[in-house]
Amino acid sequence: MAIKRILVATDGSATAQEAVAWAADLAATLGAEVVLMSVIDFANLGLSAGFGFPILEETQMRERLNQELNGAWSERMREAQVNFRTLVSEGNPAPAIVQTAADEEADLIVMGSRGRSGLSELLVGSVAHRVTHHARTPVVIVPPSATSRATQALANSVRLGREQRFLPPVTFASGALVP
Amino acid sequence: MFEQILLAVDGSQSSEVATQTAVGFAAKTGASVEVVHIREHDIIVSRASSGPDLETREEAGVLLSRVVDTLKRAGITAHGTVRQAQTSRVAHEIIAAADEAGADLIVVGNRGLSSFSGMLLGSVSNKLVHLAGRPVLVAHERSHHNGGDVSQNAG
Repeated sequence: MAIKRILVATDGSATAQEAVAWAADLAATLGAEVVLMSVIDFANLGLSAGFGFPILEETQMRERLNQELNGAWSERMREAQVNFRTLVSEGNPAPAIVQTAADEEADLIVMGSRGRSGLSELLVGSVAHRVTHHARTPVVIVPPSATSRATQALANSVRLGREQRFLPPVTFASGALVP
Repeated sequence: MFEQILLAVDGSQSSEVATQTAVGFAAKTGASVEVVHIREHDIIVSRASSGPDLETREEAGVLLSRVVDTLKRAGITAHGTVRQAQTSRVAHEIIAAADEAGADLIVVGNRGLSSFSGMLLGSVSNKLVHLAGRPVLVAHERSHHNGGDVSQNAG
């Protein structure tokens, strides 16, 4: 099975970065090209539409997705010297991704393991799961890497360490005020 | 980055597609492939779905060596193991195998791998995606190759 075109689908979640990086390395190894895709989910926009700023939010989301696509993620593809292009799609993410994979004749879909669906992910399964079950191509789900989890844990412990270093003087100061 | 692939097989159609996908990956990346087949020993579920005939040790061995031979014929370094687990622990057993092999990628079919619950929900591949902590490739029995006829399955 020759993999000539890889669709990397993101919804802008943090874990998508891992998927983008992984896909870039794979595409470089296989000599495949990449289609980088981001989906604007109107269901998410709808939640705040009641506050009266749906159009502004859509514009903001579109801008943010474009920044991600054309910024760090495109840079990662250039680093790996991979041919790629970007596209932004709209609608329900899972069907949009499956449809785009078919339209673009992708041989493989690569996605992150957690999106921003939150509660709905628990109720009806993540976007990644739905894509896995409906796509005609194999789907690779890339989790946050062990190294990034370790980095996060380290960052947390450093933050905690600072708080601990900060706490004793406060204790001392308040103690000093007690007669 | 793509040195070791863990391929989990169960003889299902999607598992055949997973095998073909692993062949493609390994051939291009030079990765070696560790093949694992999990024999289930959850008596009640097995009876409910497929009658009293549990898969025998021999059947499991035949299934495994057929896949390993397919890989070797494609010029890929491959090795296979049959492991055993309760139906509810199939995904965990695959993850244990992936950990032992130091796999960079787990390749599975989205159906099968579990005699009953897996057929209904694809729960093994879902669990793997959540728990494996490494990239998981899920092959679909509908998967087509190079834009070919969707109705034609690989293998």
